[in-house]
Amino acid sequence: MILAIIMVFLWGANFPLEKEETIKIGISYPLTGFAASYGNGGLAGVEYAVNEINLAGGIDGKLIELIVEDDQCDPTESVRVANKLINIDMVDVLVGQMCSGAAEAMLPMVQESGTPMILTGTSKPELVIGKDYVFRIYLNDNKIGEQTAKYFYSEKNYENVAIILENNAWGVGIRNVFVDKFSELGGNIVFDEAIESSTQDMRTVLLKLQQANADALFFPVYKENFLKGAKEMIELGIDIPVYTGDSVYTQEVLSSEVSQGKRIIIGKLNLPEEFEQRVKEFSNRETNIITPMGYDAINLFAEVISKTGLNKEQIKNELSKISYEGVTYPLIEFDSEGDLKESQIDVKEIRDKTTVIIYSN
Amino acid sequence: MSIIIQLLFNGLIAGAIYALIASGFSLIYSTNKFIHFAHGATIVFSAYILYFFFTVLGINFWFSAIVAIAFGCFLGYLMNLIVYKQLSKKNASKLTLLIASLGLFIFLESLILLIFGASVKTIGLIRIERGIDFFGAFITPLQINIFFISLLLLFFLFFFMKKTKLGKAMRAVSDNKNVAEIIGISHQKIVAWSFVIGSGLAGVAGILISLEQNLEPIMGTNMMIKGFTAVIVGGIGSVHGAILGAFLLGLVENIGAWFLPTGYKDAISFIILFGFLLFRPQGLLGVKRADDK
Repeated sequence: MILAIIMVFLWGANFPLEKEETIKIGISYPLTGFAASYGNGGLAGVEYAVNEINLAGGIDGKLIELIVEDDQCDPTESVRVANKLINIDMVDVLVGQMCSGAAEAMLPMVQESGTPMILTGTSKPELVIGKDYVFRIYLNDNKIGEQTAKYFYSEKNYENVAIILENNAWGVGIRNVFVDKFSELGGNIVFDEAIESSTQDMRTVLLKLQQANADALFFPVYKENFLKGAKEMIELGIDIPVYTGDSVYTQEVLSSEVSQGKRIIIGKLNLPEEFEQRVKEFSNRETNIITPMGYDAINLFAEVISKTGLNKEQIKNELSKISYEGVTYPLIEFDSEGDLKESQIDVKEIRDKTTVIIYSN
Repeated sequence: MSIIIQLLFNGLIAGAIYALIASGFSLIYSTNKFIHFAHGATIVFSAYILYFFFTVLGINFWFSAIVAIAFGCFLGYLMNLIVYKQLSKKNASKLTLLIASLGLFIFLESLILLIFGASVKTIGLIRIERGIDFFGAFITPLQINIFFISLLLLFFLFFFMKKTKLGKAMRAVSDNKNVAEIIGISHQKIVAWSFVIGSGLAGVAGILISLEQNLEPIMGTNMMIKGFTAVIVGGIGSVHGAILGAFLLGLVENIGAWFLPTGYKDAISFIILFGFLLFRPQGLLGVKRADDK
């Protein structure tokens, strides 16, 4: 009798196996921890794109199923996330990653498994090298650092520049390229210090900056440190041009009174107001510079999968030769390493809680 | 000259903030004899409550500040009632209570993230302006207020512990809870009061810190490290020692960061922490007891 009941139960439980086949996209973003706001911004774009595609009937009739994991921008967590998404959930493709350290830990597994992945927010140049399954739609440190050095020396005629950087792989990477290029051009680095993401205040490092008599400050830090530093510079009466990186391109920074007049050096990419508004109407998550990249990454895969099906090698091959008109960039194309061909920058000044382009190369 | 004055100001401002954190932390330790790490989350939660009432709802600042302090008191009371008291009834060890406090800390931090999101929040009460010039060094009126409020706290806590009935009872429980029970002092009641008052101080700290700094859900971690170090330096269990330790820590960190790369600033506080733990575990004002092994 008991056996019969179990058999009936198992027979009944088999019905769900006939469920519709989906395209599984694994997402690895920091949704908690210090980089959570960037990860949530990216996820807002991802979810919006998936909603649009699924409402339109999916890709060749197959709906997209998102499997979202929180990597916390932590290398250990990233490996766990990669293992789960690739080996347990058996995703077809991957999108995400915000931090170079965490990506560095995850990407060898991604490459080995042959799962195509699009990175949407990590800039260490070496990450994609030798990994033909990994693509990036984010300007790498080499491009940003070099272009910034050229802009400082040739366009602004700054001779003595100070640097205060975030002490992590991104900050150090961009600093190294900038210092090499700026020195090669003939400029002097008169002050160069790293600050921790947990720093309580920056008054003493700013006091040192004040003594360095720099023409300008290059300040590649995350938004938390940017807001602290910008506030304390006003309080300490430090008034030199300040240039920061795209990591601060968020609504809370743009709308802060301490940010006004500061400048952001950013890859020539777009966050159209109308697009941002549509995402905000759809999602409760905050939007930021990563949002359109998340959106573009999903649409890139959708375009490729509609041509190749779910064969991972074919997806990789098709991605490597794609020319795609995205929201983020007018034309997304990859070089032989899987990095963006695009290398132009904009310098934007924060004015009236929005930005105005003051230089474009 | 202006550099020396500015370094002193920087040290005193940092020390005043650490003192706000360390005072409540130390008060709770004095009666409970375990490290209540979730105190950092109480500070952050109170600050977010102020943000919610004042910035989001647009309610009067002073009313919002009172709500934030009351919330801090209530949260502290609740943590003791639901977690620590229940564990103590089961004769949980100090290590178990310590782990529970870390669990509470992570839980509250995640709750803040869930409710308020990860983006940086600003209270926006005070316009950011160049500070007041003292011989070429700058300090803002808010920073002067934070400094004097932390000094006031020192006197308030000194008076409270020495002169009030509740303060004396807390000292009695702190010295020996069994003897205190024999003479009619309810250990459980005093513990509850220490959580209420200590967490109320966390509320005050949360308000002042939120006016001086931006709000982030994870800011409590660093606060607890600095608060804990200040308590060790000042003498664990000594409330006014903790405040003294906080100022010393702020000064040493900032003067040290002038001579060393700024990245070593946190390392300086750890070196001080280890130095005291190794060579003067009772801290500056703490008393070495026979059972301190």
